[in-house]
Amino acid sequence: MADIRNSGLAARPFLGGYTQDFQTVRLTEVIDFELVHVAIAKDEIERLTEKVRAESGLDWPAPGSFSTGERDDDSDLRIVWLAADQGMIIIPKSGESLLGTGRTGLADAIGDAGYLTGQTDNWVALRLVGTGSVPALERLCPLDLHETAMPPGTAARTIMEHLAVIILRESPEQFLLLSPSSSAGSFLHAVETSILNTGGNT
Amino acid sequence: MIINHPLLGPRDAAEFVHLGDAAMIDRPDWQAKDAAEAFHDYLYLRDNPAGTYRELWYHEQGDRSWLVVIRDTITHDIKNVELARDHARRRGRSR
Repeated sequence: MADIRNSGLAARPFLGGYTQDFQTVRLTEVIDFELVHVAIAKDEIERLTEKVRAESGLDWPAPGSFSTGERDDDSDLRIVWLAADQGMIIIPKSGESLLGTGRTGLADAIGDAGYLTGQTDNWVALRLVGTGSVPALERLCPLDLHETAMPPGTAARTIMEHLAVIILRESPEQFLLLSPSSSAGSFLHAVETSILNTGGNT
Repeated sequence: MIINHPLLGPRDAAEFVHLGDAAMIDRPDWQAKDAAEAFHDYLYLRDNPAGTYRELWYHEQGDRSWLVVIRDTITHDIKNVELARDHARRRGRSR
């Protein structure tokens, strides 16, 4: 059998590393991260919270939010609340897989307090930055995006043009969106169209 | 209609899917002597009250939780919302 490791084949980003400056928004495909889904073992939320805090310094997020490091730059580790017993960890890519012996060691630290599933290749990520991000997104999803209802640090799962999306508000005018990679092209089209419809010419 | 989600706060009813009578939570004992009759009633018989009704709603465009919502079918006034899990546990279920 051919050895594919030395075949010269390389994975490409789902949207080819897309980036585009519109008048009021910069839209970028985020490619340098890994995703791990965590299902918390029954009645183990406290033990899991302790283990995650000891390893990463981050608290397990409260419902409807995500936790991140103090630096809060684009490449930080993020833990996203998804449901009562579920979360998603977004890890800046280190070249090593977190599920093995990762840089942060979170997988080893969590141990039997949670069940982990690698999700890296299943999601495409887009980041919107700029004054036009709220007008573009509020046409796409039913969430209240006003800062009083959705302050920075908020995470929510919602629907944009029938596609499931996890939305993180990283700062008042910066959002990270995750959507299934199988519909990455349609998702990009929906977001681009909304930006153009709300005055964001290129 | 706004449903006040116990974890996520007020959300538009359009984010949810409505299933119907929350009596679905109380599944009959399949080993009971009258199991056939009990399952017939469980599957086919529903109350249809003009007034207060206990219903199951699913937060499909959100955290995908099941909720038990007490709603007035005449006024659409929502009197109480809780996680179906909490509701079931209170009725003696393990999870």
